[in-house]
Amino acid sequence: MPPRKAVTKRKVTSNDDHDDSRDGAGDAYASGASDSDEVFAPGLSTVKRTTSKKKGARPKRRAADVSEDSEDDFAPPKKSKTASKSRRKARKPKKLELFQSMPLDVLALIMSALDTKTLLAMSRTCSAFRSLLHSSQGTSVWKAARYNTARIPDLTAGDLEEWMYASLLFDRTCHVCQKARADTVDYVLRARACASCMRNNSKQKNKMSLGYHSQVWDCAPESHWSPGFETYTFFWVPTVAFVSRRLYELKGKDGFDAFVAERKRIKEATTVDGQQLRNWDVRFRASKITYEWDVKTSRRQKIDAKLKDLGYTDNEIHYSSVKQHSLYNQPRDLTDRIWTTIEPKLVAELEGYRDIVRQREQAKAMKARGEALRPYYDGMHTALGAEARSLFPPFGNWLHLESVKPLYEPEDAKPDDVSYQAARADIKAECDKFASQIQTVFWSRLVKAHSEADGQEVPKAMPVSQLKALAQRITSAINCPNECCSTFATFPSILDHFKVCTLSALTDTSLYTSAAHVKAIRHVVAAVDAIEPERALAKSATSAALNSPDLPSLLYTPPQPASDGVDNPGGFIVNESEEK
Amino acid sequence: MASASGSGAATGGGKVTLTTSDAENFVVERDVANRSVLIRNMLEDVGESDQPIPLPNVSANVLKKVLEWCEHHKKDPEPIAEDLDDNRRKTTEISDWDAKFIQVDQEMLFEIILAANYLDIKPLLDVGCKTVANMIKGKQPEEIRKL
Repeated sequence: MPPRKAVTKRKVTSNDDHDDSRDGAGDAYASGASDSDEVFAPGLSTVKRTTSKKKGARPKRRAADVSEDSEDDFAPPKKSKTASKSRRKARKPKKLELFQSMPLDVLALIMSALDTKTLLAMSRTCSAFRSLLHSSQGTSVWKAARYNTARIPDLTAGDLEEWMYASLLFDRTCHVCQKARADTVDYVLRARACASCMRNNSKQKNKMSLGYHSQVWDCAPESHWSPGFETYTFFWVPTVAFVSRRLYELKGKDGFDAFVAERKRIKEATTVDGQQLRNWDVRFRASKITYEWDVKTSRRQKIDAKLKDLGYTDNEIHYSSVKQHSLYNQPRDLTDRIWTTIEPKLVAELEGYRDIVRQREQAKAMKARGEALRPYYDGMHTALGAEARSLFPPFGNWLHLESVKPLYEPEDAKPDDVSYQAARADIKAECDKFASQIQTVFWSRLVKAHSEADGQEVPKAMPVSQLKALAQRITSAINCPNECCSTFATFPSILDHFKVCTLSALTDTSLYTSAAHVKAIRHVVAAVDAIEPERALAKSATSAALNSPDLPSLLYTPPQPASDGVDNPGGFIVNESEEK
Repeated sequence: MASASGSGAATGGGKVTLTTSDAENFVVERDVANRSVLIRNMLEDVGESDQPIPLPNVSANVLKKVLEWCEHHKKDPEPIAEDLDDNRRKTTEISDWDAKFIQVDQEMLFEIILAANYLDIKPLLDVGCKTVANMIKGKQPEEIRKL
């Protein structure tokens, strides 16, 4: 527990009434606080030290502070004047007052049905509850709450009060520097701290300063850590400091032996408690996971039922994004209020899904109507001459022609003879336009690529006839626009291949070529020509480009007849040595 | 179910008259009234009498709710003698009917708890306390203050 004056004060007053050992057993809760001025200053993390030294810096008040200040100094956080004025105007009766007006036995009944963490929070709501829960009257309530929280075991050491015990288990603030998210806890040492404070305050015997009483090591709880074969023993420095000081104080007095005996008993008991608490921790985490899962499942079922009541089917709920929605999967039971909040969001998801399904169905129906036009496409396609047939748009592009769309796009469209014949002339005109367009685009790209490959100036816009004349003089082999296909062919024959290769449409960038592309093709063609000159593939290729130093030389191996043990199927092999 | 009447005492045939703090009378079956240990003890002590039983700590609208609960649970078996172990305050489930019954505003909820405490109706008191506990569970101090 954090070293605080309030805690110390209370401890000290009770010190006179009760036995010394109990106070000593409060170890970190008491010792780290009261002794800091005289003997020991708990090793605060450096960050905290610097912040606390800031002049004029307002100390941050935390929830934990509320509970551990002195008994009567609970006060709600101060608000600015304007805020309090406006609040006073619209003040509603405070609900907490209802609680406070409850008879004590009823209040105890309510609190007994809580879990320890909530009870700890409750003890920090107001001074009345704090007094109740920090007094002996609250003990039975804490015990009931511990029973409700996966049966937290009783402490055999008896060194912590119930609220301290709860704080050790469930506080999230460092008990030394008050930093948030202190997840490191040592049940044997009774310490919860941030990593830095834990490192500074839990030390091995040989790493602590000299000057402690020689018997302190038998009287202070020790925690063992075995990362491998070795075991390290740690002591909580504030406890060691406290016990040591008491030992010095009692030295040669009557109570010395009793104090040592009691401390030894506590030391043994803390080890047993530590083990029990570790077991509880595992049990608690498991029960938490199970509980969350149950709540989540129950929430899902309730949401499903409510969505079905709204008219959504199992399939819609299952396949829509509702199942992945964070609101659907929260580990919190579904109440009417929560449902009112989340219903519009979940319904919007389902409506979105319905829209998508509707669009898909429309697209499917449209696709079927489009497919019904294929015989007309085939008829138009086959009726053409060889070159014109190559340049005839693929089916995908044909469907996108403005004159074809009305034949299948409207939901009431009927792709039949009558409508087709009516649109035939327009379709044909558009097909011709497509052919000339695709040819011009490709030729211009080809001329540009060749010019760049040869290091010549790229010709500016030129008439189609001139472009055609130029393009026909150069190699026009290009890759099939289908990304999965590695076929090369000359233009426009590649389009015949494309129509068989895939059902997709051509795009603006489908027929692509570049200077590098041209160089590579020339290189391959030249290699083939060198081996099989009679084929003369590269008659039109320029010889200068073939000697590019960037490209590796290729060796051509003719295919061997199939036989066992021979794995040379023939083909091009890159000459590695030359490449390097 | 209890019937409210503005006239004075009216008992007989296993009926009991209860008078609320706002002087309203409720005539209920004895079985229903016996759910309250306070009333049962009072009836046992007084014996057969036509005198209405005054309930100065319970108002009419709260008693109406309490009697609604008693009516629904009049045939429930008597609770087994309380386990003396205080630790065993289990957070048992609240039945669906009780959960729906207890869905009232907070002031009424607290009134019901107080009435159940006064009338010594342990199961109703438990339902009320568990409901309040469920409202608080998992909340931070600030949230509990605003509850």
